[in-house]
Order: sequence, then C-alpha cells, then structure tokens
Amino acid sequence: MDAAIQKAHRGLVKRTAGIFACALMWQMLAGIAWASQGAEPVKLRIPLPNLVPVSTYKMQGAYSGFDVSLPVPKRWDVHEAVLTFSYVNSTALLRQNSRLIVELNQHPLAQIVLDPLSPEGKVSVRLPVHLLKPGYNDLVFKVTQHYVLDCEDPTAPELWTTLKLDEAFLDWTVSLKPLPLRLSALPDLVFDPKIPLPEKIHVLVESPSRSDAMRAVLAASAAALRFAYRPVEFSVSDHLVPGRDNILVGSEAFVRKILGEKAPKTPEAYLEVRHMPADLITGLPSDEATDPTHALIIVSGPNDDAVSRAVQSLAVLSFPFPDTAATMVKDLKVPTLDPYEAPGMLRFDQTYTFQNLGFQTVTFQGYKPAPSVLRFRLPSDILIKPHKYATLSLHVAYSAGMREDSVLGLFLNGKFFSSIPLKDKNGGHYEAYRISFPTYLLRPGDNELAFHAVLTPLVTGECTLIQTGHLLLTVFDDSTFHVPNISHWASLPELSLFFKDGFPFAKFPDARETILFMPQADFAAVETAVNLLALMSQKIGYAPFGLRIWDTWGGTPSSDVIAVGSLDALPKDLLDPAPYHLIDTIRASYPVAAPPTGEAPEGTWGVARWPRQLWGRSKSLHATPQVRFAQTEQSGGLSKQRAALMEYRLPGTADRTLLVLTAHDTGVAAKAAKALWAFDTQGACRGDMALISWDNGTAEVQSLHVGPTYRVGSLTALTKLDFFVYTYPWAFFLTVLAALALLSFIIYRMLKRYRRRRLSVSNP
Amino acid sequence: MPYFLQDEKLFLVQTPHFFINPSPVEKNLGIHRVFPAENEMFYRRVHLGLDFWNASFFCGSAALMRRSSLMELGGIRGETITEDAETALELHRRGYRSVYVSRPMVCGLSPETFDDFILQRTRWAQGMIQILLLKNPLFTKGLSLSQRLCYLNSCLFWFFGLARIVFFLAPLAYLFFGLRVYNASVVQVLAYALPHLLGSTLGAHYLYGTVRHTLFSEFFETVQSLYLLPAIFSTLKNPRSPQFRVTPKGRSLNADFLSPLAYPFYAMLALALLGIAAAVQRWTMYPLERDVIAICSFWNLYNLGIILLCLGAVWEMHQWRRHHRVLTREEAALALPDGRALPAQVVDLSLGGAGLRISAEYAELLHAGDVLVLEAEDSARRVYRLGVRVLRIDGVGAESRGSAHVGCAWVLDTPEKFSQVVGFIYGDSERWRRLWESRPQDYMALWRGYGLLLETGIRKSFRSLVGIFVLMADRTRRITANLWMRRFKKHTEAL
Repeated sequence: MDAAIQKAHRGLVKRTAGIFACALMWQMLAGIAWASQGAEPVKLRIPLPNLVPVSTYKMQGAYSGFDVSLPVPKRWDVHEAVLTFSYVNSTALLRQNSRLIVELNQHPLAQIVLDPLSPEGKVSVRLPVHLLKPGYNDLVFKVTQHYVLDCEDPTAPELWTTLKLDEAFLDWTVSLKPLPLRLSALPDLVFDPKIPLPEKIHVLVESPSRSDAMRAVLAASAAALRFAYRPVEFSVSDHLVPGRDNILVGSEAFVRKILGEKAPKTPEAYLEVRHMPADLITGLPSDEATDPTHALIIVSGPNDDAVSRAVQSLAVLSFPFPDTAATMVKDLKVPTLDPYEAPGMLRFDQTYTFQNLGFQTVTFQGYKPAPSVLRFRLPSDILIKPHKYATLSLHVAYSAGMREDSVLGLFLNGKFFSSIPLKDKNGGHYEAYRISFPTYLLRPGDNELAFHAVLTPLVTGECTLIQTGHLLLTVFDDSTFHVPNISHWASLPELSLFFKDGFPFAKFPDARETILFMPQADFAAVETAVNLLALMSQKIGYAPFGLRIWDTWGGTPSSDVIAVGSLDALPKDLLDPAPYHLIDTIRASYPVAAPPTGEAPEGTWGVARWPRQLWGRSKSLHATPQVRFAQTEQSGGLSKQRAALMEYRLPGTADRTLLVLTAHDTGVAAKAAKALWAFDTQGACRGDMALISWDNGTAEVQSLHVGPTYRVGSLTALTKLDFFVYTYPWAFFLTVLAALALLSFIIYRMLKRYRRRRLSVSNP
Repeated sequence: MPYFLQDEKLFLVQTPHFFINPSPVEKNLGIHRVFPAENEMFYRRVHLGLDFWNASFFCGSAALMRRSSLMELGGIRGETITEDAETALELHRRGYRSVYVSRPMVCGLSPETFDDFILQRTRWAQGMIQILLLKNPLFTKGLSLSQRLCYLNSCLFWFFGLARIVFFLAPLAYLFFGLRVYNASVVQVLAYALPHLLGSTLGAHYLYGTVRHTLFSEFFETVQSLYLLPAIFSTLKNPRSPQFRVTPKGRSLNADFLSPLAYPFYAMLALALLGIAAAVQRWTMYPLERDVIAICSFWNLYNLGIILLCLGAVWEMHQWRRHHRVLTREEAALALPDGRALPAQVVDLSLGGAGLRISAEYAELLHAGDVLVLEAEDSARRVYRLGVRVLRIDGVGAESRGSAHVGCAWVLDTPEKFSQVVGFIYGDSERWRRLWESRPQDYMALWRGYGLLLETGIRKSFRSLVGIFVLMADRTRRITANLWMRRFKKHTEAL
C-alpha cells in the first residue's frame, strides 16, 4: 500500500514536475516567440484633446453629432483600445428614446441611455481592434434626443447633450510591429505624425564638431518634418541608444566603429534603414539578433560631401520611394526657395481655390450640423492694416424647404464676421457670393475659417411631422479666397513668432540668413541646437539647408543668429544687451503692476482737450494694466536648474535678431530645448525673455517683455506712407493740408510771375 | 491794333463771338436771358485761360490777323475743317503769339434750328478731332507745354459724347441686365461718391456759376452726344473724310415743329421709363441688391430729367421775325416834318426798323404812316439822320404811364440809306460792349437752377408731346379727309 502510495506520489511529483517543466518550456517558448515578434505590449493613455482642439461640444436638436478623426499609427499593433468620456445631458430629455451612440467607422459600438434623472455620465467604450485600421478612423458621437413622445419640435432648446471632451481619453494597449526594411517606410511608418505621444529619436554623430552638428541638425530636421506637428525629442551622442529609433550620421569609418563588421560599404552617399542591433538590448554580443521594432537609419558616405549629400537626401525623402532598404545618392539638387515659400504658407495678392487650400466640397445636413473648417497659414510678420480687405468668393447651394432664417455663418479664428442668408424656400445657389472681411481678423501663423450652418425646416410646430433630413447645404471647393497685398513688417522681439513659423530665422525656409552660434563643442550643446532647429524646421516645414554654424564669434554678420551654450561660454558682447543681464553684474527688470490707464473727463484739460479730441482716442479705456519695471543691479542670477530663452536685437545691427538659449550648464540648456517641444511650453514663451525651470518635474515657463522693440520687414515708400496715413490719420491730414497750402502758394506765385511776363509781352 | 504794333510776333487778336439771337436750344426751351448763353462759358472763362497761356486760337470770325504771318504760312490752312484753329495752331508752333480781348467788337447770329446747331457742332467736333489726329498738339513741335495742354484739352473736350452715352447706359445696364456697374453700397456711395459729386459741383459752380449752370453743361453735352459720336467715330476711322459744311443762319420758321433729329430722344425717354419699371421689379425680386438698385435708379431719374430737357430742346419754336432785334437803350431825337425834334429813346433795333420810347405827351403828335427822321449819335459822335415810317404807337392814353412805344420801319428807298442804317446798327461796337456787360452777373442759386431746369424740362417736353399729338391728329385728319375726298369724288363721278 505504502509502496503503491509512494509510487503514486512519485508519479504525481513526476507529472507535476513534467507539467511544471512543460509550462516553463511553454513560457520560455512563448517569450522567445513574443520576443521575436516584437516588444511587450505597453499601455498608453492619450487625452482626447490631443486629437481635437475643443474642450466641450454641445450637440443640439433631435439629431446631432460630433466627429473625431482617430489616428492609429501603422507601426502600432493594437491589442486593446478603450474610449472613456463624460457627458452631461439635458434633464428635459425623455429617457425612453433619448440615446447617445458611439460609432467607429460607421459601426455602432455603444448606445447610452440619456437619463434625465442622472444627467451626468461617464462611459467607457471598448473599440474593437478589428475595426481600427491604420491611418485615420472615424469616431462619431451621435445623439437622438426627445423631450416628448409626440408633436416634438426637433429644434427645441432643451434638446442638448454636452460632451466633456477635456475629460475624455483613450487607453491603448499596443505593441510595436516589426518595421519593414524599406526607406519608403520612413515618412509614414517610422516618423509617423499619427503617433499621438511625443517620440524620442537618437542621432549619432562622430563628434560635437561644427560639421557634425550641421549633419545632426539636418538629420533631426528630416525626422521632425515627417512628424508634421507632433513633438519629437532628439538626443545626440556618439553611440547607439536602444529602445528608440537611431539615426547614424557619419563617415564610413565612424559607421564601421559603431556597427563593426555589419557596417555597410559606402562608395557613394549612402542611406540605409535596418533594424536596431539586439546586442544593445540584451547586452550580449550577437551577430544576427536585432530589435525589429526600431529602426537604425544609416546616413554615410566615403567623404564629407557624400555624407552631407546623404543627410540632405534624408531630409527631402518624403514620397514613399525607394522601396529598398538602402540607396546610394549620386547627385542631389535642392530647389532654392524664396522668402516665405514654406509649405502651406499663403502668398499675398493671390487668389486660392478652397481645393488648393485642402478644403474639399462639404455638404452640411440637418438642423445644426458640425462646422467645417478651412485652415490656412500666413507669415508671422504681416502688417495688418485696418483698411485692407480679404475677399471670399463662395459657391454655395442649399436645398428647398428651409425657412428663411436659415443662414451659413462664417467665423474667422473664432470670431463671427459674416453670414449668408438662405432665404429662398425653393432652394437656390450662390455663385461667386463675395464677402470681404477686414484683414485685422487675420492673425500671423495658422488661421481658421469656419463655416457654421444653421438650417431650419420650413414646417415646424406642434403635432407636425418635422423633417430635417432635407436640410442640406453645400460649400463647393471651387470657392475662392483672395489674400490682399500685405506688407511684411513685424515688431520684435517676440518669442511667440518663433514658435509660429520660426520667424525671423526661418523667413527664408532654408534658413540661409541664419547662423547657429555654438561656442562649445559638447554633445549637450549640439543636442540643444538640434532640438531648437528641428523644432524650427517643423514649424516652417522645410529643412535648414542654408544654415551656417559658427563656433567662434566672427564679428557682426548680416544674418539672424541663434546662439546656444552655457552662460560663461557665450561672448559678453552678445549677452550685454539682453533683456536680463545674466552674468557679472546681474541686471534685472521686475514688473510692477500699475492701475488701469484711464482718460481724464472732458473739461479737466481745458484748451488741451480740443486737440486731444481732434487727434482721437489713442488708448482703450479697458486697456490691461500698464506694466512698469523696477530695474536692479544685483548679485545672484540664474540658478543651476533654470534655462533662459531670450530674443533681442543682434548687437551692431538695425534689424537682425539674436535668439539665445542658455543656462549655466549645456545639459540644462538641452533639457530646456527638449521641453520646448511641448505645446504648452511653446505657448508660454512670449515677449523677449522666457525662463524655463523644472520645479515640479515638468517644465514651467515665465515670460516677460522688458527690452526695447524694433521693427523688421521691408516697406516700400508707398507702404511707409500708407502706414503713416492709417497710424497717424490726423497728422497725415494736417501734413496734406500744409502741403496743399504750400503747393498752392508756389503755384500762385508762379502764375503771378507768368502773368506779369505775359502781360508785358501781349498787353504793354 | 496797338497789340500788333507793340508785339511783332503777335499774329492774332481774337474777340468774343457776340450773338444777337438765342441758340435754338435756348430759344426752344425759353431760357434765353434766364440762364447764361451757351457760348459764354467759352468766351468769358475758357478763352481767358487760353489767352493766359498764349494759346488763344482763331475762332473763325471777330478777330484780326497779321497778314505777314498768314503769308508766311501760305494763307489759312485747310487740312482740317476747323481751318481757324488749325491755322492758329500752326502759327503758335512757329513761335507767334495771340491775344484774346474780352470785349465784343462785332455781332453775329446763332443757328436758327436744332438741325443747324448740330450741323455746326458736328463740324467743330470733327475738325478738332482731325487736329488731334493729324496735328497732334501733344507731340507736334514748336508748342510750349502749356500750349500743348490747351490745344489737347480743346480737342479732347469733344469726346464728351462717349461719357454721356456711358452715363446714360450704365444704370440701365444694371436695371435691365443686372450688370453691376456700381459695385458699391449706399453707404460707400454716401461716403465716397457723394462728397466727390458735391465737391466737384460746388467747385464748378463757384468758378463758372456766372456763365454756366452745372446741369446745363450736362444737358448741352447730352443733347449733342447722340449726333456727335457717329461723326467722331467716322473721323477717327478716316481723319481726312469730313467735308466743310457751312452752318445755315438767319432762317425764319413759320410754325412750331418737331426737329427731325428728335426721335432718338424719344427712344431714350422710353428706355429711361422702362428703366424705372425694371427698378421696381428688381427692388421686389432682389432685396439683397437694393443698395445698387437705389443708386442706379437715382442716376436713371437724373438722366430722365436731362432727357426731358432734350425733348423740350428739339421741339422747334416758330421764328416769324425776318431780322433779329438788338435790345438797346440810346438817346435820340425824332424830327417832325414841321422841324420840331422830339426827344426819344431807341429801345430796339433791327435791319427792319427800330422801337422808340417817347414821352406820352408827344405821342399825340405822331400818327401811323408818318414819315419822320430819326437823329442819333454813335459812341464815336457820328451823327445819323435816318428816315423812319411810323407803323404803330402803343401805350397812348390811360395805360401810357408817361411814355409810349413807337414802332418804326426804316425808309430804305436808296442804297445809301440802307448803308447808313447798316452802319448805324452794326457799326458801333460800343453797343455790343454795353450789352455784353449788361447781362446779369450774379449767381443763380445752384439748387434753384436745378429746379428751374427741371421744371422747364417737364413743361417743354409736355408741350413737345402735346405738339406731337396735335401734329399726328392734324396729319390723321388730312389723310382721312384726303381718303374721304377721293372716295367722295369717285362716288360723285359714278353718279
């Protein structure tokens, strides 16, 4: 019995050990298989406001909806996606037939009962993975809302549900797919703007020298451009960094030093994409193992020219070609761009069709359909004049059966400026419906022209079948937008302009009139410059092929200058006129708020009030409090963990700009440059001085405008006169009167003299 | 003459054309001596300006020219049909000078009918366009800059017809076909166009109000434009084609009649009236365009007012008098057969006779048919003794108010006596000077002028329409009578 029991026990132990061994083996095999497939799944939480620039949206009427374009990068292997959002519905809704529906690519995923007794809700909706396709997916929120069972007015104001998009987020569980070894995959797969989180890319160069810095800048710009508008942080060193995409830029020797035997032969300018070596991950030497989820981009050549050509080629490869892992570039011709010829930048005194501006024909349907937006971009240095008008020429059609209070409202940058009446009950269309709006509604940088349709059915009232399906309005893409001739003229310093389109350094999109001054030869300084210039390239949409790099200050150039480095490395001459004098004797200006500026009531100024009235009001009564400064000379300036971004006039020039990113240590400056990729950090940089710190782990920015302003731009004599006329109308008026009086007097004298001479001849 | 003596390079002394009869337009509208005559603008203002810049040109008459200068040129030039201006231009080119003396020395006659008036203006227009094309004053050698501009202005002026036709058609183009000629809102028009209009109108009135009402200019240009344009285009096409045609003068018209050139104005009237209907229709159909409709309607109504004036101008008034009277006020004496001399005042003169004003107490001494002698002096103290026959004596008796009007006819039984009468009437330029200076110089208020012209237009065009109906009725009556008579004759013959 004991033997049998012992035998049974031994069998059990053996079986258990076998099962355990099998399980262990299975785990190991699964791990190997998993490792061979790609990285472990990671969980990501992406706030919905990262995808749509609105915080709340109110869906009104019996039927309404809101669309979100949901990007899914090709590189992702999505395991799970969950949408979580909150909403508030009207308490006047009927529970039994009011619903909020979530659809993904036309597939209904969830139907939420809109309950008046619990008008606030938080919903999590699992997005089926098989419905998510790489690229942009249509995520739609729809509502059907009712407040009575019969005789309902579908436009009743109590029919509403508000989506709290600022509280919405998407939980992704994703892993990275193995990358295809094709250079053509770089623009839309490796550097994919649909990746919703900040990317990290590493650039390898041989040294922090001037030429290597230039290559690093171009390589980083190439990647940043592909990411379109997404933040991407760059690190720079002379070795590979695992777990991220690496761009290896350098000579054949440097590439061989990094890759050893696996280094390619590079008889010409050479580009190759391959998987990252795995030995970096495991730490164990391996000839064959790779990390297929991350790319190593090799940019090399037999000599300096070839390497430069290769890195420039990387910057221009955007079309999905070539479909090979490697290419050799024998020749490269880059077009020379004129100022402001950046992608998407409108030129002045031109007429554009909506189609050319990326706006396709759109049909609005229903009572209050979602607005449609046309986006365009203007240079940062536009001289907005109150008497210049831009003109829209719209081609619009609308359906029959709409009440005459239906309108198409037009908003520019969120401000209503015009509307088109849709008054004909039989429907109609407008061809070349011209609307002019003053250019002061435009703003430098990105602009949004939004079309808001409010379409009302003809038949309304109680106990009536109210049809809204026929409420249709189409804005055709052959409508045109005319931009008037606007002068380039800007008041500097203004850091916010740099974050709009790199102005003034990227006025020439290839930065041919910009110098990067980098007195220190260390990788942190290069990293600072790379991030700053890659960011500028992304803003303007073009790589800085024309950038020059100085490592010693060579006198006052006729270029704009971006200087990066530690405080003690930058020349004193450059830092002396800065808004804050950060070395030696620290000079600082502290704002002292003053009360609002007002105007004395009439009568208190006596005679002086008449010229004042004649001249006109120069300041708004509701002006913001005037800022005054207390200026100090002191000791103790910038702390070790704080960086300063300053913009001011380049010493020795009239209209050239110097941008300085500095700290006590170049590492801190590099950290600041990386922090500038965040949109909120960019938005906080204004005026001529921004201090960047990391007190709470995240970057914080304090901005100020303390230094003198100067103007840059090119004004013709006529524009100068024009500027004078609208800036000082009464002075112009008086000048004209004086000129007329003088002219009249001169003519009078001349005529009198002529008459005297004439009479002496003809009438002695 | 002193001008010629003082300045050897002087080739021309031009004086104003002084007409003793109204132009047909003034006569037909009844505005003679109410508004300044049409040529006063030119002779009282424009020509003074031309003279200032040594660009006064020969106007065909009332001028003295230096023979030697003309001989140097080979006589009066005839390349264009305005040989006078052409000759002056050629002499100016050669460095000669001209003078304009703003004092009438001779009198002349305006055309009697609208047809003749248009004939005259067509010749002037064609001639000046010929000068522009054949002798372009802007580029021809020898002229000073101011002379070039003066001559160029005199030539280009004649293109006014083009602007007038466009002004007339522009509002209709929108009202009929929706062509947006005025791409402006009412506010924009009020802000930009109205100040300009007011400024230019008031400025013109300030400078030229005593010699030309601004609306009168527009009317005068409109009334000529339809006929001048084809002539101008034909000259532009073939600059050497125009032929010289003398303007007929001194015609007498037995009855009122419609000028043969009137019909286009009736077509314009119809178009303007249809334009009003179209405006009403557009106002209703296109509420978004009411701004433009209002502006176009205003200009259409303005054009309508001018067309009404034109219609009044083309209804020819009768002209029974054989000789035009010159109104004057000169002291004279009437010698009776018994040797007594009665003091008299000459109040009008013509080649047919004279009108005298005498004291009522002497009127009883005169009788119709009496042959008397009129003793008068001219400004040079020359004494004229002219035989007159009393035709009628008015104002005798209670209504005399102390004076009587005696209508006389000259006794012209010998050529010498006719010569004396002509010398008395036309031989004294002082009379023309007096008349020239006696015209009212004060401004007619701008708005009053508009009202008066509009009222005149409506009244005269109504009369014109009535006249047409009368003419048509008369013609219908005659045709009916003719037909009736023929049939009656046939009937009686058949009987």
